[in-house]
Amino acid sequence: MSRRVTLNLGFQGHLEPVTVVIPDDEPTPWLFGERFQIVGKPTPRVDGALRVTGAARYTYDISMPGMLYGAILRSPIPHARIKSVDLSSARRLGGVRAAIRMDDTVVRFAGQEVAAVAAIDYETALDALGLIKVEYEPLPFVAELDAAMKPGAPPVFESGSNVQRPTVNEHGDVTRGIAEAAAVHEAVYLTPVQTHVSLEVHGSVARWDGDELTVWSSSQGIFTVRDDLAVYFNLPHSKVRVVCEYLGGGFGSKFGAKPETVIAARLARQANAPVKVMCTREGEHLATGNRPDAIQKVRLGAGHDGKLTVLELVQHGSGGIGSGSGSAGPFLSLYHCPNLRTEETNVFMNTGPSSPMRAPGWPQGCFALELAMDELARKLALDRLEFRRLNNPNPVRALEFDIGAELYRMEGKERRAQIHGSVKTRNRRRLRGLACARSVGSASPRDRPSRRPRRGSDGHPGHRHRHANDPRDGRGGGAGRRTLAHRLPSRRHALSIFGSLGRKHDHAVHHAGGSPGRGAS
Amino acid sequence: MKHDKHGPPDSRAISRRAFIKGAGAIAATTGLIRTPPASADAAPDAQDGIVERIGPGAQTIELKINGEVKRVTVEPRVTLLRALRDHLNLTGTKLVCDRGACGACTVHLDGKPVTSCMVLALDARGHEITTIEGLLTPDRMSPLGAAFVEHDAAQCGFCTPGMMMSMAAALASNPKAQLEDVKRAVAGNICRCGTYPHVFAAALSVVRGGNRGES
Ligand code: FES
Ligand code: FES
Repeated sequence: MSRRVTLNLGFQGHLEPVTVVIPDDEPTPWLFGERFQIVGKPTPRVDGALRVTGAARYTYDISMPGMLYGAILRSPIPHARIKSVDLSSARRLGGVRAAIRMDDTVVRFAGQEVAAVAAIDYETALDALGLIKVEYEPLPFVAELDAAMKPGAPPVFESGSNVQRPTVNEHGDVTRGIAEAAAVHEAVYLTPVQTHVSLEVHGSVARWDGDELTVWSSSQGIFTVRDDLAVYFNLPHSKVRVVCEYLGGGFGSKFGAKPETVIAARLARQANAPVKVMCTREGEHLATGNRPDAIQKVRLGAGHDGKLTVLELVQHGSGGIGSGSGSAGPFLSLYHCPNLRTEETNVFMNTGPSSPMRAPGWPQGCFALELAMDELARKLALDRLEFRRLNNPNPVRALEFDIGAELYRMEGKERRAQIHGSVKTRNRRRLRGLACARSVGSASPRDRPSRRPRRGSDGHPGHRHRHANDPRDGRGGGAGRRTLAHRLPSRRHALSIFGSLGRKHDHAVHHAGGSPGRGAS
Repeated sequence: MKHDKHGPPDSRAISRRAFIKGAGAIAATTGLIRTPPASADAAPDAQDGIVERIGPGAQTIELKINGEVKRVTVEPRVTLLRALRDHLNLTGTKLVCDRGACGACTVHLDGKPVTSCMVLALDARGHEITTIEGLLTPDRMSPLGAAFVEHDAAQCGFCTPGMMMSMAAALASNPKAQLEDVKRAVAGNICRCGTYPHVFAAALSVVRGGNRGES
C-alpha cells in the first residue's frame, strides 16, 4: 500500500511542489523549513557520559576469558623476496599459542606483514617475534614519487611500469582555451603524504565458536569487514559477525578486513582461543593507509570578462603499492569552463598502500585549483569571490557564496582581504583565505539504516529494529540517530547499531526517510 | 620489531633510570629481556644508585589504585599503562603512542598527571595512583565531567579520558584557571578529532561556576 504526497523540494527561494508516491510504512520526508521537536535543537550525546568517564569500551579495551595477545612481525626491508620464515623457536617459547606466516612471498614495502604470533601476554608475544627467523633476498626499491616516475626506476610489481595508465577527462580544446585567454596562470602544486593517525590504532579481537567467527573490529564499516572475512575464510555470511561499539577515529582508513584483522582470526583459529591484535603506532603509520602525495601541474586561463576559457590538470600521485591517488574531482565539478582537460596518473612505489582519507583526492585538488584561481583573479585584477561567482554553474552554490560573503564581511577588513589575500588582523596574526569546495556526501546504500521490521531480541513481536553500520566514531550522525530513537514516543522502535548480524539480507535497505544527517539541500 | 620507549617520565618523583641501571640498560630492547644482562653478576652498588635488583621474571607487586591496594604479577618491563589495561582491566586509560607523546594514557601519581606509558609498573609502587575510573564514573560525575558532556568535549572520545585527567589536575591546582591556563593543561594531549575548543569551554565553565572542588 502506498500514498501520494506533495512535497516542496528545492532550496531557499527555489522551491517547487513535487508529488511522490510513498509506501504506507514509510514516514513522510521532511519538508523545507519544517520545525521539529528534537532535530535542530541542542541535545547532549546519548553516550557522552560513557565517553568522558572512560567507561566506553573500544575494540582496544575488549578482553575476554582466555584471550591471547597477538603481535605482527613487519618487514624492515622495502622490497624483498622472502626465502624462508622459521617459526619454530617462536613456537617453542613458553606462553606462545600460535604462530603464522603471511601468504605473500614478496614484500613490497617496509612495514608489510610477514608473520604473527599470539601469546598469553603482550610481552611474550613481542619476545616471540624476536625469535622468528626470516631470510630476505633484497630487491631494488623506489620510495619517492618523482623517482618512481623515472624511466628505468625499479618496478614495484613484476608486471610492468610503475606509471599506470592515466585517467583522462576532456571536453572542448585546451589549445583554443589558452589562445582565447587574456591571462593565464601556470604552476605546479605539491602535496605530501599524510597519515590518518586515528588515536585508536587498527586492530581486532577474533573468536571462533566452532565454524562461526565473531570479530570485534576497530572499523568504520562492519559490513565490509564481514564480507571480506567471509571471502577470506570461505564462510557463508551467516557465520561471520562483526561488532564495533565505539571507534577511536577512522578518518576513512578503517573499512574492510585489513591484514591485522585477518591475522587475528587466523591466530585465533590456530590457538583455538580469542586473540586480540592491535597495530603498534609504528605499524599504523607504515601499513594501515595514508592520503597519497601529489604533483599537480595546473594551467588556468580566463578572458577579460572573468570567464574561464581553459582549465587543465596533469596530475601524478602515489598510492604506494595501492592506487587511487587521483585529485581531479574539484577541477571537474566546481566551475564551468568550455575547454577542460584533466589527466590523473597513479604511480606505484614501495610504500604502504593508500586508503581513503576524508574526501579522497579532494583536499589535494582543491589546494591546487583554489590557489590557482586566486592567482588568476589577481592577474585579472578581479575580486576573488567575484571571479568564482562568474564561473559558478550551480544555483545552490551561488546562494552559499552569498552566505559565505556575509559571514566573511562580519569580521572586518574583508574587502582588502578579498582582493589582496591574507591580512593580519589588529590583535592577532591570523591569515585569511577564501576557497571553494564541494561535498560529495552519499553513503553507500548498504551503510544506510535498514528499516526491515523484525522480531525484537527481547521476544516482543512488532518491534522495529534498525540495523545500521554506525560505529560510534563521534561524528554525530550516529548520535543523532540514537537521540531520535531514544526519544521516539513508543517503544516499538529499537536501534541495533553495533553489529552486522550475519545474514545476508540483513542489510537490505529502503531509501526513504531516515537519517537526520540528510537535510533539505 | 623494536619497541622504543625513551624520553623522561613526566614526574620527577618516578625514577625509571634507576630501574634501567639495575637491569643492565636493556629494558628498551624486546627479545633480549629474558636474558640476564652480562653485568648482572656485579654486586649491587649503592654508590651507583642501585637499591634493588628485580626481574627479569614476573613478580607480584602491590599498587595502590583509586584508593585500593591491588596485587598484580608483572615482568619488570611492563609499563604502568599495560598493567592497568591488560592486567587490571582498567581500560579507561588509553594506549595510543606508547612513548610519552600523546597524553592519552595520563593518570595521576600522587595527584600529579603523568603519562603511564612512561612509568614502569614497578616504579609506581608506593605511590597513590588515580585513573579515570577513580576520578569519575557515569553514575558519579564530577562537575568537570558533566561540563565535558554538556559542551560536547568528546567526539570519538579516545583522547578524552587523558584530557580529563590533565584538566582535572590543572583545575585542582589552579581553580581560577583562565583560557591560557586550560590551554596549557592539555598542551600534551593530542586530539585528532579537534575537540580542543570544547574542552577549553568545558573547563572554563567549571571555573566560572565557582570552584566546586574538581579532582
Ligand atoms: S600512550 Fe602514553 S603518552 Fe601516548
Ligand atoms: S575526541 Fe577523537 S581524538 Fe579527541
